[in-house]
Amino acid sequence: MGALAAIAALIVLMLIGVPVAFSFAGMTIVLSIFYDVNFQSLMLTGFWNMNSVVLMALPLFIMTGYLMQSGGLANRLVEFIESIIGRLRGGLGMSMIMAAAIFGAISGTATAAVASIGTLMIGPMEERGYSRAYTSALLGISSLLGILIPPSITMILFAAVTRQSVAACFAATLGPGILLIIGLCIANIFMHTRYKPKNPSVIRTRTDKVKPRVVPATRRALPALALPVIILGGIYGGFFTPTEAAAVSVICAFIVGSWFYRELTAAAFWRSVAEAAETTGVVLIILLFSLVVSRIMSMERIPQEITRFMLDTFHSPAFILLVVNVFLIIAGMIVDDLSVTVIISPLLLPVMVESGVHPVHFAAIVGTSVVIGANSPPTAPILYMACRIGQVEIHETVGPAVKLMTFVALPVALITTYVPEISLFFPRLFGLI
Amino acid sequence: MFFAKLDRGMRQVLRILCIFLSIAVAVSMVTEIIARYFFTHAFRGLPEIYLLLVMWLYMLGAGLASANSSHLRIGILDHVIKKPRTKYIYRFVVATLTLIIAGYFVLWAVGLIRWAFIRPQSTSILRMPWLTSQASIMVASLLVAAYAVRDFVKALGGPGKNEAAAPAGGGD
Repeated sequence: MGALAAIAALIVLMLIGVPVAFSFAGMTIVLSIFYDVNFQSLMLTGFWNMNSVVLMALPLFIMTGYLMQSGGLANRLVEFIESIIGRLRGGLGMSMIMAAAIFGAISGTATAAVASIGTLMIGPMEERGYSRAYTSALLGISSLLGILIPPSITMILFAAVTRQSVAACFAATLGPGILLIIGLCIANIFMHTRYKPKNPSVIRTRTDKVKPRVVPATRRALPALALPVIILGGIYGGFFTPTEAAAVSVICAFIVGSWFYRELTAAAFWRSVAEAAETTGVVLIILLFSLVVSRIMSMERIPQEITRFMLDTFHSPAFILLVVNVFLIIAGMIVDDLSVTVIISPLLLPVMVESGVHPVHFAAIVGTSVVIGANSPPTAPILYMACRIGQVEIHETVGPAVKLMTFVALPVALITTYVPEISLFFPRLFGLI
Repeated sequence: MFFAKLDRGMRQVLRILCIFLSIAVAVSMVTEIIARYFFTHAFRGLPEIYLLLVMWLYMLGAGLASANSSHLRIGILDHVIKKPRTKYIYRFVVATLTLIIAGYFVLWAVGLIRWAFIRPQSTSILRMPWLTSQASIMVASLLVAAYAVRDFVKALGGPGKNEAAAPAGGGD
């Protein structure tokens, strides 16, 4: 009863516009009233859970994303990918998908990818016959590759709240991420000509093929391409922990942006670091309250009650998986991806384990469901942001976004759910589980 | 006028502190990696220092987000409500709720600090009191509450005058 009231309070507070962090604090108030929790211990719980080296990867990867944006790494990566696959049919759309994947492999966030890649690519794509509505929808969904392609902020949070290995969670979403890339590329080949720009006079050329200039583009992009190699090679080669890899990526992004590309000026550096710190504060204050909420819920044995209810009601593990998937997607449609990860993951983890799902497989299920939720109205934070960058109304993008989700993201989520090997292959390969 | 200057000054101070802390955290961690790999030397106690720094970074970052009203919001109603009077009432309700919740945050932080004084604890290697790190939560709660008061006062301004207290909407 107390848990239901607290979840209702959280949703109401969020929907009326109270900041997400305060909504979680509001949820804490409701829970502490219902379960008569000693308020002196609340922040102590939050503090000890936050005081973790694992979580330090968050601010550092966020900072890397901002330094990449202002250091000129993003446009070199886009130019490089265009030079390789731009000549194919639907090449620019595929370039956008691949750029989002590589951007995700460095910064671990979706928002940085939307802002950087959207600003660089939407205009040129319109000139080559892509509609802004379709491009914004494609951008919204492909930027979520930042969650699936490691490193991933969402997976760091998942690992922190469910006490799993960060490296294993990173590896678990790699398979679904590759599936999503393939699916989006195939869908783009069929869909990109179906949506025409509203104003045909902006089209400069009838072909979307880009002249191949692989060698100069590769040479320019090499320093930026070294980053994912250093980060992922460092983590899975056993050289650094994910947190250390995040610190190294900050220094590398700084060196590449300021010395190699000479675009990261002192002013841009200060601005990027301050903005990254602000974003860090936004995420971590949400985490502080959600950790307190999770602690109260686990003290009151609420996850165990949910597990018992689910197992008594739905006898088949396959059906439980379907229910969990639907629940995660609906939750993602109502609240943001961070909230889904930090609140729902620890609540549902015992059900998943009882149903025979490996916790690392569950990380991939959460990741793929979040991709759908973050692009589904009414909330759709990533789709809204893509629309802002693409300068289109949200209702124009809903059509292509729904098609991309129905024919690509949803099948990927279902395959990830019912074929555990997709998510467990890489963790096993790297000896993480 | 005085409060506007104070607001600007506070934001500047928070920005500078956040920049310093961010650089310090990244550099100290990379120093540790370099020392370990190239000089096979481990700085004992360094993790305690960067954990202290990063906790202050989290909390001052949250304070800076409050100062710039950039906390993540989902608010759908702000886009739906068109009438200025209804919008005014709606924003007043949101600012009031935020203020009440910020008040609770201060109370919880006071509880944390009181506990830190009753049961003082320190780190295992450098013997730094944990209070130095826990104090960041107290500072963050005060900053968040102060900016919640600012937004509440702006929301009181009347229809059309409380734009600054408006929820930003969207989740970026």
